[in-house]
Amino acid sequence: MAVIALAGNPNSGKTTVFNALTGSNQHIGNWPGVTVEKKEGKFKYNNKQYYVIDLPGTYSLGAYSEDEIVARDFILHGNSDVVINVVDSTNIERNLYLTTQLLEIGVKVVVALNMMDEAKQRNIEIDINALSEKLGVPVVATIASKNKGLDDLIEKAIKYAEDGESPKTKISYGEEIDKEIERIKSILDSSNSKYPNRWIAIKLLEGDEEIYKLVEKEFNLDKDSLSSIKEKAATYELEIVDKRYEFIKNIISTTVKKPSKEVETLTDKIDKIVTHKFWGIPIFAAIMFVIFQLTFVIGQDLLGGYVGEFVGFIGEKVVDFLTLINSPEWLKAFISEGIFGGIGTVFEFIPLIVVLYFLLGILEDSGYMARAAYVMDGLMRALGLHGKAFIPMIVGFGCNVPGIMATRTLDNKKDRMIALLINPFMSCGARLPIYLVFISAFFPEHGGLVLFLLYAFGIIMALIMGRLFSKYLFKEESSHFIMELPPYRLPIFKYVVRSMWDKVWDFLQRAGTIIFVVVSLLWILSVLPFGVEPYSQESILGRIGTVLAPIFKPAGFGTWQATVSLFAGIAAKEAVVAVLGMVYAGVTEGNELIAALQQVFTPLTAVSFLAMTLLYTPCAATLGTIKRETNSIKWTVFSALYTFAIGWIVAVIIYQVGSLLGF
Amino acid sequence: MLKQILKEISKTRIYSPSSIAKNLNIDDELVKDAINQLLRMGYITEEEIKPNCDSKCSGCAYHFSCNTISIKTLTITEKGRQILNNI
Repeated sequence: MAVIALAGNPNSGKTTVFNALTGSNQHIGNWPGVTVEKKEGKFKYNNKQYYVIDLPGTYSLGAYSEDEIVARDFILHGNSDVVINVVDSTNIERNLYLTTQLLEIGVKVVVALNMMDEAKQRNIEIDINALSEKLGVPVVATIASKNKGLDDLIEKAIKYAEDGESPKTKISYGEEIDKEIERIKSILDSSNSKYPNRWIAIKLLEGDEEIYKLVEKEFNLDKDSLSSIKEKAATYELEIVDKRYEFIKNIISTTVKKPSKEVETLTDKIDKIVTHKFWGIPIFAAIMFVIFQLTFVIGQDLLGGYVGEFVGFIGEKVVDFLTLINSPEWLKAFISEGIFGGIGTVFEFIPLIVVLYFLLGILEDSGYMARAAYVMDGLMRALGLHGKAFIPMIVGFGCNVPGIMATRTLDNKKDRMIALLINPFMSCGARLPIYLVFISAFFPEHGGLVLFLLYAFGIIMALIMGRLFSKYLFKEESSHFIMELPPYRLPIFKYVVRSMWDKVWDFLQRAGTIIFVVVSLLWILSVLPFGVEPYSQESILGRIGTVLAPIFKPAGFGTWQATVSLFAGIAAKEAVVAVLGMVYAGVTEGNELIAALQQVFTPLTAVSFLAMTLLYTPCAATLGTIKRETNSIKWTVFSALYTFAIGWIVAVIIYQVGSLLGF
Repeated sequence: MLKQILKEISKTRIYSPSSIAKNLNIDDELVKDAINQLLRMGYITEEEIKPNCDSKCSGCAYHFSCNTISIKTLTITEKGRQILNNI
């Protein structure tokens, strides 16, 4: 029974041809010794039965994957009478690479130019006769999905298998390599092997390890000769592949007509502006500013207040209910002041967070972030930093933990350590409620601008520290890299909303778990010992805060309340607002905390406090990740302390300079 | 063509298959294929920069706050640099 093998690139329609030929008369198993799927079947044509085998889809006949080795070995060992090479007509240049390799092996090949309908739709014209002449094998147009051209294909394949001559197509690899191929071939010819010796010689010069093993086993070639061929392979390998592409290009130039490519795509046009040498960074800054501004316009002006009122309303109802069922006073105080006064305050900023995540989701889904990384890469390189470090920084905008995990992909230790140590300066989502509550209290008219400045200041501090680390701590050379810019796409609403919801849900979950635990513990400390005024300086929490508060006196916010909120923030950043809500307001109305902050802070101390929260010690989860990733307590402690010191220094400078200037 | 693509990659800090295809007047798909060839032959390496974790997203406490951005980069290897020096 004659054997027909189907070879082709993945997605060339090879399996569609196989199914059309064999119908239900097929069997699926595995190739011996490997996990590659083997599809075989039978069909009848002119009362004769034929055996068809669907080889794994491959782009070439190298030895880079199991698929390639399986397909190559099947053909090389002469298991088929004819090979039908299924070629995707819409991608003919790419597909012909495999064709050239089949031709070089010397097997009988019939080319099935598949998907001709799609090629026609794309105005691709292929001169089938000319192509057949250039390749030296039959070429048949097919549309396998519509069962068109398959009879002609089978007829030609069978005829060629029975009467045709193997192709004589030779690719010239240039004088030097051609001579070397002939020299090796003549040595191989003396072994009387069953293999196509010219192809074996080419593969040896390509450095194909599998072929070296085959030659060692089956040919009379000494080890010294093989070693000398291997040395040459290092020089010739690229040249050989290049010549194959050149061969294909020459064939295509005379047999295929394609519409000329659009000179400049929309992506190119946009990229010319947004990745501009000088305008790239201002454009990135402007985009971020607009996002923050819109967050306040939509999140605060349109939606703000409702959640706060709702939280307040629910709080009142819960307390009413607790009164009704004669609950103990401590429970009512805990629920109203600890839970609703503390955690409830965090919830009030959900509308702003929803809007911000929605807008950032649109930006991410559009493909712009790769451009942002690119423009920042330029700035970072100018500062002697590795541009790749900015990518984990962008990831860190969501949460510093995955941001630090993203540094794993940086190849050298210097880049990785710097990226890891500066990542906590990126404003994560958990710090948003702190910014939002202070902005609402002191800068409601300029919310977008202040939020933008905070994020930008975090990036600037990260760059400054990165530069210092690069100069004094880690002095290895950085590697040069090239970034891929994916095409822009219209954000898909469903995905953007899903991503936004995921982040908001995570925020709510954290408020209900870790923040709840922190607030509960601190509430107990703020009402003990019995007999003292709750939330007063005499409480345990007040006393701890009072001992530590002098640290922050030079920064202008040396109160015990601000101090304990900052230390609570090391457990989780959202806890800062929750604790401030509990110790300053302690009641359920939404704007109580804002009113309390307006009495205790000034705009200057608010800025100083915001700078501290932006820069100081990262949360426990981030520190834990730094410990895991560096496997070093020393670097973890360093990260916790140096960020605290930087935050403190910046806060003190802001307060002292601001005071001198009369703010 | 591979040498030309390697040269194009070495000249820039950003690339897209379409920009290389436009510069060399060849197909986008062919450029992708050639980049794969260069990767397989060890002239360049490819990295996808994104959170690179041991655990699966579904079991991760930070999954929801994790950013989905991933950026592909190429780096020319020493082997690739040697070829470039000889062009």
